[in-house]
Amino acid sequence: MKWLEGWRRCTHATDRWITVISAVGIMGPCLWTLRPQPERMVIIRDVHAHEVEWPLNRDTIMEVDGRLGPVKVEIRDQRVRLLEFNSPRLVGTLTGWIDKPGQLTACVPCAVIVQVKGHPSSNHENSGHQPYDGIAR
Amino acid sequence: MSGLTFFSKVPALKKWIPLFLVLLFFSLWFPWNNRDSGSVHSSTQLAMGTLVTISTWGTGDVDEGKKVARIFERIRQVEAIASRQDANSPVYRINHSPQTKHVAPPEALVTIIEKGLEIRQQSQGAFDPGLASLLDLWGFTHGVPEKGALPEQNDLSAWLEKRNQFPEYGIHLNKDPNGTVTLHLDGDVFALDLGAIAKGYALDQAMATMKQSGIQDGLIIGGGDMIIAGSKGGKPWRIGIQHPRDRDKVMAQVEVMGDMALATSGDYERFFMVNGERQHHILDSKTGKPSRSGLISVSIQAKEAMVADALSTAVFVLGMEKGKALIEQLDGVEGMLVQENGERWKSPQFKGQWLDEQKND
Repeated sequence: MKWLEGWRRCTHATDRWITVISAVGIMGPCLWTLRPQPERMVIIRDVHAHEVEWPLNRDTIMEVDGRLGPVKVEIRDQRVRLLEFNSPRLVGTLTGWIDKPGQLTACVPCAVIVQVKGHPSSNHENSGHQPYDGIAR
Repeated sequence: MSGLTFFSKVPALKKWIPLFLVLLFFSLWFPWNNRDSGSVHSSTQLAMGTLVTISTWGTGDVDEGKKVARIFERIRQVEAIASRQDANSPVYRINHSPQTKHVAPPEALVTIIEKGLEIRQQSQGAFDPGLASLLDLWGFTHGVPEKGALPEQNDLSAWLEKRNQFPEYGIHLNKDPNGTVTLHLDGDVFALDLGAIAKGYALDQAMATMKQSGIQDGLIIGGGDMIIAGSKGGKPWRIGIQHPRDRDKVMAQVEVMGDMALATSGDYERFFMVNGERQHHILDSKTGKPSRSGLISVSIQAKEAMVADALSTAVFVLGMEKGKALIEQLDGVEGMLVQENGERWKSPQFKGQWLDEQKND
């Protein structure tokens, strides 16, 4: 029973430090990984520059003021999209669903912007893809 | 020492020392690596007829939010000066009374036009800040025409004829010795459209406002052009350059730490198709038509976004050979050029690389 004898003699400060650090070294990363995640939000900005934050896990269809009339925004299954709207090029509608932090869809003629809160670099951490802070086009 | 003595007295534990050291390393490294020293915070708004995104590296507190609001405000101030649609803007007033001598236009407008005329001269007219009436003929007044159609050939010929009546370029900016600045246009055929340079100026002003407010690390993007400062907590800002023929693809990657502006011009952002031919918004003042230089994408890096913005248009119109020559002639200007036939070139000091080359490395 050398082990037991050893632990009984583990009374010096250095020994205790080594034990504590070992425990922290094991538990710390585990707790960090399991920490509660903040609710994912979407930011909807209307023509008057009013911003609404809405949780992505709360399904809804909301109507916001746009320059060319009301614009519908649908939030479903942790994703968000602009619904069909009669803007000239339908770029916002054609973008479809978005769900990743920093992703954005907009109807420029209507002056309505919908963006998933966060920054693209958090996609990188989650997916392993190479995200970009900006796209030159 | 007695701790180590303990291990030496208990040989069964001695072999675990390396493991303890590894755990010690991770217990220190993990909190250090994930310390809350800052993160990227982005805010997007509509300005200058496009989406403007301001990303800053910081704590994202209320104070930072107020600073970002001031940056957006500065961009809107420039827009209010340079917009040709806003009936209250100086540019609108100048365009609607071109032959009047406009005394002391706003300083910002003088700066933009001065730089525009300089780049026009350097590019032998490839960049032209006086194409408002031609853009109107093509329907590129507000973004892309709803139903794109070619302008009447007679209208185009009339425009070219009117332009050619003037032996000299018809935008005149004069500075008297006493400091008074006057601006006048020879006619509405030289009406100002500063869309290919004012956005860059607005980005420069936005960045200056950001730095004055104390934020030293940030990225400001306006409709695909951008200005960059500092880093993301010691890591570079990572920029993708869009593939000109596949909207979902990136053809090149730029990683930057420090100050730099990047502007891209291409035939793929604002265009319509007629009989299979792409009619885009980068017009050549010599033909009155969309530029057919062979280039489909031009990215320019420079210190100032205003310079990068205007030069990307100029090089696009000049084409590969003349465009390369212009880039090589100018200090602190780098470029990445792509032709329709797949030929491509980047200047040696251009910060960034083609993605397919990166894969082969």
